[in-house]
Amino acid sequence: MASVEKFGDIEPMPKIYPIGGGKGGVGKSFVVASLGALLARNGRTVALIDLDLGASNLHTFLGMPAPKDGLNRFLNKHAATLESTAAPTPVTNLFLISSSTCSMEIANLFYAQKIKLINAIKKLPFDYVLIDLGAGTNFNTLDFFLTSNKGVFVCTPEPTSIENAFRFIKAVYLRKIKQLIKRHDFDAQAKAAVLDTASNALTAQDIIDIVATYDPEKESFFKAHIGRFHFKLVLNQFRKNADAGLGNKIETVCNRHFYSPFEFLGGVAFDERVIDSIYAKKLYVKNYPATATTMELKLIAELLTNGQPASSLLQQAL
Amino acid sequence: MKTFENENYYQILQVPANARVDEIKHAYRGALAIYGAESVATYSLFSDEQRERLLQAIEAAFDTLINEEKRIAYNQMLIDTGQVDAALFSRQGQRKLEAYCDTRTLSNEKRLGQWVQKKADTPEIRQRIEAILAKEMLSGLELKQLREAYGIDISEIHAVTKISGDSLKRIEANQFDDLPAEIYVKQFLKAYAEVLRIDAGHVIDSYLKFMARAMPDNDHDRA
Repeated sequence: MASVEKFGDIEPMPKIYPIGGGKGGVGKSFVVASLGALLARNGRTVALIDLDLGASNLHTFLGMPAPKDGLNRFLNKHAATLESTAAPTPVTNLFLISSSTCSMEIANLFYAQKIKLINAIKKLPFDYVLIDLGAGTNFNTLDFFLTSNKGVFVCTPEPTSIENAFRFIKAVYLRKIKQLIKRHDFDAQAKAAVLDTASNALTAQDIIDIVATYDPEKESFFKAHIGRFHFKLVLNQFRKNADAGLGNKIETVCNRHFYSPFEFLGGVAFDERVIDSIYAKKLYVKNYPATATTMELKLIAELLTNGQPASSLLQQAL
Repeated sequence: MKTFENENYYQILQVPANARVDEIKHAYRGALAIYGAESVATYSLFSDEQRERLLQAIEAAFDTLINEEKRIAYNQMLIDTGQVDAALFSRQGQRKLEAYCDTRTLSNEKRLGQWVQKKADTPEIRQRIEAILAKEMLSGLELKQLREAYGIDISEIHAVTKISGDSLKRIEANQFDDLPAEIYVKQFLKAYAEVLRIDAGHVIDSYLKFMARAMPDNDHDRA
C-alpha cells in the first residue's frame, strides 16, 4: 500500500467517474473493471469502488477473490481512511474498494454514512476513481452518481436498456434540481411547490417552469448549475445488427433536450469471450488484448484521460 | 426537457440558414430517424403528445424550407423580426464555392492581419490612427482615412469580411439613407474595425453618434 500512502500528504483531487445506467446486466461492472485496468496501465493510479451495494461482485471481473476487507471497515470506523481499505488487484496501480464484505443490510445505507462516504471519495489520493453503481434509481445510487459532474451512463442498444437509461438520467436531474432548491435561497413559494412530497410526479422541466414562474431571476442560475454536468454515454454489448449511428443519435437528442452537455464515448462490441472470462475468473482486457471489444474500450479510456478523442478518432471525423 | 418551442425552422432541422436543398432533405431524414415513433434512440424519452408535437414541427420546417417560395417568405419574416441576420442568407449558393476557397480566405485574413500589425507598429501611422480614434464621433470620411492610413483597399476588406463593396463605400460616404437597418450597420462596423484591429465598440458607438447627429430630421419622420 506504500504507493497509495505516499500521496496522502498532498491530497490531490481524483478524477471521479461514477458509472451507472439504470438497468441491470448491461455490463456496468465489466466496463468499470476494463476501463480501470486500461487507465492503470497508462501509469496512473486508479481506485475502483464497488457501490453496487448488496450485489457487489466487481472483484470477479478483475479475476481476483473477494477481498477480505473493504468498505465495511471504513463504515464501521475500524479504518480511519477510505484509502486504507483499498485492496491491491492483479493489475499494477489498480486498487479495489469492495463492498462484498459489507453486511447484508448495506443496501440501506444511513444518510450520515452516505455523506461520510461521499466526502471520503472526493478526497481519495488516486488519479482516477471509478464508481460502479447498482441498477435502479434509488437515492443512494443517484447521490453517488452526483458525487462528480462527469457521470458515465452504460447501456446496451436494446429499447429496454435505453428506456431505463433515460429514466436514470431524468431521475439524476430531478435529484440534482431538488438538491439545488433545498440548498440555495429560492423563493419560498417555489420551494414549497417543488418540495411538496405529495406531488412526486414532478419532472425536471416542471420544476424549471415552477422556478421560472415564482423566482425568474434564479432560472439562469439553475440552468448554469445543471449545465456544469458533463454526461457521458457508453453503448455496451454492441452487436453487428444494431444501428451503427445509435450512440450519436442519443447524444444529439440528449444535447437538444436536456440542459447539460452529453458526449457519446463509443460503442463496445459484444463478445462471447467476456462471459468466458468471467467463468474463468480472468480479466478480459488482459486475456484478450487485441479484440475489437478491447480496442474500443481503449479508445474510451483515452477519451476519458485526454478529454478529447484520440487522434485516430479525429481522423475518422474529418 | 427542452422542446423546439423557441427554435426557427433552420434550428429545428439543424441546418445553416443557407443550406442547399439536398442538405435540407438529408437533415429531414436524419430528424425522422431520431424522432420517429420507431426510433430506438428516443425510446420512452418523450410522451406520445411530446413526440407528436416534435414531429409536427419537423414536418412544418421541412415543408417550408423545401419549397422555394415559402422559404423566401419565411426568410424575410426572420429578417424582419430580427431573428436572423440577413447576411446569413445572402451567401446562399456561395457555400459550395467557399468550401474550395476556405484555405485562400484564411491565408488572405492572415496576410492582411500581418500587414495591419506591421502598419500599426509604425509610430507615424500609429499617431494618425490614434488622433482619429480620439474623437468622440467618427464620420465615414474618418473611417476612410483610417483605412487609408493602413494602406488597405475596400476590396481587401470585402475579401475578408464578405461585406459588399457597395455597403462599405456607403458607410464611408455617409450615405445613411442607403444603409440597411442599424443592426446590420453595427455588424458591418464591427467587422470593419476587426480587420483594422481597432476597438469595435468605440467605432460602432462613435459612428452611430455621428449618424444620429447627421440625420435628425429623418428620426423625426420615423417617430
